Amino acid sequence: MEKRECIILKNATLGYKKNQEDVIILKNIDLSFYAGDFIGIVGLNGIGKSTLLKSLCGLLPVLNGEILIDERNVNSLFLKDLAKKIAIVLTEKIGGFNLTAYDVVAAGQMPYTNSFNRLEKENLTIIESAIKICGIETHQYKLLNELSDGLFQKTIIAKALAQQTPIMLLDEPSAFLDYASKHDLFLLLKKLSAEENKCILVSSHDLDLLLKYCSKLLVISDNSIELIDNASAKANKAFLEIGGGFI
Amino acid sequence: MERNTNIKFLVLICLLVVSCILSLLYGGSEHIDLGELSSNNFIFWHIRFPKTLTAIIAGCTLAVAGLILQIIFRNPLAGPYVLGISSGASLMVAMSILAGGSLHLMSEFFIGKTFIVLSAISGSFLITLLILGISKKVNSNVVLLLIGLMLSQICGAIQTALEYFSDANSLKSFVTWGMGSLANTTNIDLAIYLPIALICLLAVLFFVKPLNALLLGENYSQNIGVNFKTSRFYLILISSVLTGLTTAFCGPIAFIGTAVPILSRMVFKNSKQHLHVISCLLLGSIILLLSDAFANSLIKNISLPINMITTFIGAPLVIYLMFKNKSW
Amino acid sequence: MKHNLLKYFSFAIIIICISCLGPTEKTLNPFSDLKKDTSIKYAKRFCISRNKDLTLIYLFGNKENFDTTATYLICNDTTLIKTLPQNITFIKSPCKKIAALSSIYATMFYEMGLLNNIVAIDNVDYMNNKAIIDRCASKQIQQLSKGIEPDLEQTIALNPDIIFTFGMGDPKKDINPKLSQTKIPVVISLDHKEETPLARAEWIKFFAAFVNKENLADSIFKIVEKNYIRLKAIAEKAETTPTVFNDMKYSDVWYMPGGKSYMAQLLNDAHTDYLWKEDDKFGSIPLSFEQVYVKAKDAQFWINVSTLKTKKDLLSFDTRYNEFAAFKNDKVFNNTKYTNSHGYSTYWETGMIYPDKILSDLLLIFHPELKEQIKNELYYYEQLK
Repeated sequence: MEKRECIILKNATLGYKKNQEDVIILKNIDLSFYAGDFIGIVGLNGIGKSTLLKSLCGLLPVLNGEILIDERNVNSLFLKDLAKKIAIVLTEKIGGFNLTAYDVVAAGQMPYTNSFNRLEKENLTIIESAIKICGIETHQYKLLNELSDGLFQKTIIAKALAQQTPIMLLDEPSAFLDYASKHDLFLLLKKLSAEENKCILVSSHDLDLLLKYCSKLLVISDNSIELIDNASAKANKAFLEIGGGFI
Repeated sequence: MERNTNIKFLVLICLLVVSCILSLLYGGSEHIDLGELSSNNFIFWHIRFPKTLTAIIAGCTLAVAGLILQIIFRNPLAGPYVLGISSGASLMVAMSILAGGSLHLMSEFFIGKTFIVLSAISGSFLITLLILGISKKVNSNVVLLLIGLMLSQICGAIQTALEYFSDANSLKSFVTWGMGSLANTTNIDLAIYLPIALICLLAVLFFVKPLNALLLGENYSQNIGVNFKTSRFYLILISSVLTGLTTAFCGPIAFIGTAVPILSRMVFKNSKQHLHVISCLLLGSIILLLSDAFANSLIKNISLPINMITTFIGAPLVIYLMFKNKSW
Repeated sequence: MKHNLLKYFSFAIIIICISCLGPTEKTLNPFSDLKKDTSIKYAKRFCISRNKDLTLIYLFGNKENFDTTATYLICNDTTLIKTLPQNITFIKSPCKKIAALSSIYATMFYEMGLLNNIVAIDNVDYMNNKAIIDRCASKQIQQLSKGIEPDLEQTIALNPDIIFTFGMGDPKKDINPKLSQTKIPVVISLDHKEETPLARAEWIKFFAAFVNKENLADSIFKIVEKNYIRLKAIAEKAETTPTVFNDMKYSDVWYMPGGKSYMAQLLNDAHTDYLWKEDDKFGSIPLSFEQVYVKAKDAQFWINVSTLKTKKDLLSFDTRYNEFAAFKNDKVFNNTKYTNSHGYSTYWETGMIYPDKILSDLLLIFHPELKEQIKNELYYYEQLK
């Protein structure tokens, strides 16, 4: 399969703005991710994993340098077009207003609907298959507030799937899942990256899962960001430090 | 599910027709004889008709403004009245009457009305922006409501101060605008009120997609291709125009903006906002029409203040919701 | 009136008894030879009786049965205070520093030539009287009610000999308890509770009793009475009884004077057909636009439209006002001929003292054919332009 660069970071400095001032989290990063990559992001709490993921899909500003998505600057893309390229799964909770699991998954198709958000037959098929893939059929009409944390996580992942994007970013998607579901999730992600040639970035503290399923690891530590092969992980000093001696 | 929804809408439309008739025929002290409904029946065409139409427009505008505010603040208890936005609009009207009185603007009908409408809209816009700024600092729905209450008290206090320093001429005009009433709009007023309200309500229909997306919060709505900040700005603008407009013609009407979207979510147990926009239009009109008919027929020959009735409907709903949803 | 007298006499007897129980060495009873002032013919809310040393004034504040709710004893013998029961307010005469907390009371004292004795009024914004306004400007008269309530500290610091204020007749409810703890006597006026124009005008005798101006007040009132009766007699000869209604909406309520109200009686005396004359209220009737419209759309005259001076002003509140025949035919009149810069009319300041002038205005409005006999110009009223 042809290796296509779908995400490029050029000397990118990432962070957020607070009272008009830049708060820098990650500095001068040069990285490239390719279609079909299944990359695990590891790093200690607060190191900038979420910042990186949010910056990649335009939720946080690029303070310096640039991020290219399919060769176009992430900030110059129309939101609607960006929404068709990158889907994100965050850790934040949403709910209320009668929102059901189905509604959230259906929202994944929003970039493809008209301005009255009318769902056509093909939209509905995609939504249903996303629900099926994530195994939440029996819970799809439940209110979000009534879902367990694990089911909620699966719902958001289904939303990201329904968005049908070549790039998927997942911020600690395995946090609330049971052991079997964690493996199911990583198997699914691996399958998606392999069969549909998606570029998937997933941050997690489940290092064993990352080692088992991912194709590469992005190791973020205080003084470096390294993209390493899974095989060489156990020789990597930064990775071992994050592992805390338990790997 | 679809069929169920259709039936509910059908029932609401029937209710709307019935409440229109009730308001037209029983929304006042005099007996209306349907047999004599010629075009020159002044009571019917110039007193009842404008009041009924005003109730419908006010119900629609406030309910939709409330729906928008609840989604923007992701707070099911929000509304133009409880967040102090109506009071902000009233205050601006009071200020403009004071200024306009000295500029002799108020006696020219259209200039005076436009002036009042514009100041009410700017007042509600400013308070909405202010409360939006505050909402970023607090993460509790109830605290936001308390702040709204305080804002409304502050606006009220400033208004009292203005009343106190004003002379006999403008004092009466203040009080006239300060109380909620559906009976003060004439057919000529409606020539301004109705078109602006219609334009804004139509505009809302083009924002149902952002409204749906905004339910998922800032990050997810951005990620599914809806510009959160831009949509929010336009939605705030629309809700301010809706609130300001109605406050300019009817004064602050209590709790409709909060209660109707809550009821709508109780009736239609889903999160499709295009349904809720339409059901808010229907429910808002129905509730205000019935409140008006009720206010006029409860005690013979005495019309009770409309806000008394709407508060009796709205406030218990808000309290109920506070109890029901303990997670706040 | 009969049971009213009874109450008064029984009260007087009680007072006499109380005073008899006082120190026995005092052979001369100060309350002996009290004579009722029988010149008071119209007012029902007060009565005066006096002997050569003192004056007793009774206030009948009770709404239904006209019971005595306050009693004032005016005397220059302060030794009497000790023997007085608590419910009698002692006022040392003569009162030199008067706080008159209403434009009407201030005007009464002005009319009695006591401008220099007025030390305080409520708020100069309500005044049209140039002399009083000037004295306010030069701080010779203080304003005690710039706010919603009278300024207690300012009042106590000013220490007037007497305060006249508005109330409902019960001193316990009408007077600020802190103010009643001071030695400053507070007198409640019930002029607004009187139901006829002449009764209200007669209250000048009430105020006069506190400042030894009884004779002047009598003569002022006599002229008013004479004029009023003369004008009323002229009105009776009028050939028409034009229909009339009052006021305008306040928010969405139209407060129409009741059929027994002051205004209704003036309109009746002016030989008009006030549309709510059948009503039995002394206060006002809250009506909706619709109720007023049904009854008054064809009425010939419309008076007392708040503070408005033009028809355009009226329309700016509600365009439907032009549906009234009186409006279409330019028969809308308001008591705003002379107003100060704050919009307050002389009508509210002097009208109560001179109801003959109001009646004369009403006759000129409703019966212009009688102009020859009335011999006056409009005092308070003007036609809305």
